[in-house]
Amino acid sequence: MLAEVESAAVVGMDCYKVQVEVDISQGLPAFNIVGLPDTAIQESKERIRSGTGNSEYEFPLKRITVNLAPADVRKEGPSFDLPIAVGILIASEKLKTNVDEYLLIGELSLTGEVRKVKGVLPLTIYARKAEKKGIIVPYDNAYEASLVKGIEVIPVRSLKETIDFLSDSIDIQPVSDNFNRLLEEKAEEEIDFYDVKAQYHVRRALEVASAGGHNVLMVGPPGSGKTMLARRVASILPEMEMEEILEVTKIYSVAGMLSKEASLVATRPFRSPHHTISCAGLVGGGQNPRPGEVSLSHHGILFLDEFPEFQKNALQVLRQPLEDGCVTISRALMSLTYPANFTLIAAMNPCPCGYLGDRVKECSCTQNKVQQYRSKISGPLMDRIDIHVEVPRLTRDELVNAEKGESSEMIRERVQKARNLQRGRFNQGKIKCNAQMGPRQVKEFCKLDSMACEFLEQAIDKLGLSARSYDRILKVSRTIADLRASELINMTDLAEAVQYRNMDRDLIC
Amino acid sequence: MEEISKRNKKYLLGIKLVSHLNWKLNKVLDCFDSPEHAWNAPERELKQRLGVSDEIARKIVFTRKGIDIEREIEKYRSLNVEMITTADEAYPNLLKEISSPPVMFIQGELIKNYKYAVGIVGSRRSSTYGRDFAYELAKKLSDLGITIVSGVARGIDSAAHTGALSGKGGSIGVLGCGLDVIYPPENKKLYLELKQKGSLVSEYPLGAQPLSQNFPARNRIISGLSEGIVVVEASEKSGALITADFALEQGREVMVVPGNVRSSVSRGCHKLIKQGACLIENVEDVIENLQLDKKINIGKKKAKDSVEIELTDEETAVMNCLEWEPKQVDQIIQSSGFEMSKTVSLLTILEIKGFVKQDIGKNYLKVR
Repeated sequence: MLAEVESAAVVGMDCYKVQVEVDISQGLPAFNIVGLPDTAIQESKERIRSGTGNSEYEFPLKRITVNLAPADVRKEGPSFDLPIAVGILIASEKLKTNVDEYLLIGELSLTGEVRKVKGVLPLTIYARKAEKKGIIVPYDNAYEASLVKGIEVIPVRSLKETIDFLSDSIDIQPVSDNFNRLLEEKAEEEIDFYDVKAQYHVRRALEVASAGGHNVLMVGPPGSGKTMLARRVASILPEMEMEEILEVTKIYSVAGMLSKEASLVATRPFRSPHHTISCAGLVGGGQNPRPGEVSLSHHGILFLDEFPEFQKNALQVLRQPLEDGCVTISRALMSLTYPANFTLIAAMNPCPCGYLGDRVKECSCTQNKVQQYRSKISGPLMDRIDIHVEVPRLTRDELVNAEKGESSEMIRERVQKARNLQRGRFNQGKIKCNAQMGPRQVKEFCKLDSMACEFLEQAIDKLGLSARSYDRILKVSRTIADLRASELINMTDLAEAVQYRNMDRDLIC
Repeated sequence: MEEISKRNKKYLLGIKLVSHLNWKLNKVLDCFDSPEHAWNAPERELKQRLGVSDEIARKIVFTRKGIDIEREIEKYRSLNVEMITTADEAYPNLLKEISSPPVMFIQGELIKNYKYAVGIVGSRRSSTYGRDFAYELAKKLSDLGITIVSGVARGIDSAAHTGALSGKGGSIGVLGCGLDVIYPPENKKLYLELKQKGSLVSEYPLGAQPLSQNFPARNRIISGLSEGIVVVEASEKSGALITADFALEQGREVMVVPGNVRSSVSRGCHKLIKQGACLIENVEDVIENLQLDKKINIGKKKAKDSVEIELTDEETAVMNCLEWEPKQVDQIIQSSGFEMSKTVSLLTILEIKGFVKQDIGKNYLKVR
């Protein structure tokens, strides 16, 4: 007899329907799966055979053929275990019911339990779009699936439970929408700008960066607190919007990084990969490309410590996501696009030994070495970083005597106000903050009066700034004016913005 | 007469291009009647007169064969490089007093007609204070019509050249490599300006690489061309100290700019002061030490200095928080009492007006 069960698979952030067809016919006992399955699916035969047996069902000793349609797309992963097992039980007439209304996903264990799989959130969104009545998901994935409204999410613990539910012998309560509860439960943020002592101008630079969504490069000797400061930037960025939360949670679902305890990514992600990371790890990759660090830090912060120590290629691949806010990965079989709209915070030492410009320890590098070290970061990449800030090392006295700073909450309030202003300015279109302005918007929104214009030219000329800093300075000064809630950019704003272009200047020789 | 010198020059160039002859240039000129004679001498004669081994004589003959002098001359001409010898009128008189290089390659006119020159030398690793002082001093001396000689290296040298080129005295750069080799590479613009408004000088033929042994030899030309030298910043092992040694040997005045006693880039300077070198605080000290005040007219200078840029009250308040030593921006913010963004903006404005300099590590120091 023939049975059909509906399932779906994730490619990148999108899903497609997979029709699981099971045919049981007379003949020598055999179990074949066709439809370009990968090894994990080939091995699912053994899991299904044992899982069915251990769930008090008899595994049919007949010729079983499973087809995963469409037959020309490669399928991967163990999430088809459950639909295949259910299909076999229907085809062997152990279960006499129709499963058309549901989409099934789940991995089986040898005991017949259902295990969690990756990508349940996008699959649930797909199921709702396909107008299914419900989706049957592993119990451990139920929370992320329940973020989607307008569809019944049936959590199952085992194959037996699934069959009982489908044959109406037990009733499983659909997990209801718990979005708001999850939001309320959101863990209190432990890190706060309150802990940072002194470093006034760095704090200000980071506030400006957060207000305009600008990328930042922090330069400072070891032990100056670059990492500590970077971690706190997430706490002053504006609260995530619903739409953003769903988008980020979807990426984490695809990457299989959601758990029952943390099924919702409601705080801005902070990712800090080690500098040995490969290109694929950074932008995503693999035979079936998974999201990389740039996508995992979507709407959040990607912190790259020891910036010049990253592989040259790895830094170059950052350029597209920094420009477009997404990353397209092409492989022989497919081409995928993952969102990657993040704020880059890079940190580096001023020179190889780390102490150039330090007040206590003297630097032991030759100028050649310093230049070599800095040239590891290419011009085009440097161009995408709006704010450069030098982080000095504090002496012990300064550390002991300094007062504690403002709390993140207070800074965030100002940042939020500036962002709201920007939202109003670019009310339609893709641009959300000042950092994303193109040359046209810069021309339109960063108008200077003649005095300010003259001042900027003088600054570029006298301070040895490169010409390409011009647009960056304008963008940053726009944000500084926004923080004052002013439509006009004045000279003070410009003068402050000039301060954030230090790496363009030749201060080493 | 002119014909002879022209012929001599041609073969001198040839000799300069053969490294084994170039190394013993003085001996070659002593042992042979004329450069032409030396150039055409057969292997045996070379061996006899110069006392070199068979192998070296063979090498000399071999290299000589590969050089087409006419073509080389054409190359030098196309690059506007002139060759001068001690016999030439253009050869600076001051340089003749010392154990001078018999042949020099020059670009630019200044070397032929400068009146008084002062050498400003110092460390490649330098502080903002040192570079700024070198720039100021060079500019002021140059405004008085004094030419500044230095070595076109990074740091103090570059600052001195840049300062001097903005005045009327101009600047002469002495290289430790061929005139067509730009070292350090970031000084390309400075090379061009020196060629146009001043002079570039080298005793090495075109294409010679900046080998470390060339630089001490170059330093003797720097001091040789000058009435005296000013050492702005030098660490204990700095090449600037070699220049000072040459200057003493050549009977030139050695003047030194003191620095912070804790700073390692001034340690060499302080050593010179201990040994009795003159301490320099300003341009007047230099003039006085070299007794140039009688030779040049320094009357005009006062009028020029009186152009004052006015500061606003706020700018003055920030200026009052600054010191001659680099100070951290956070400290300035705290002591100024202004808002953080305000202070930083004022610092930028002061920097543009030329009152303040920024040092690496977000430190500021006043320079006026």
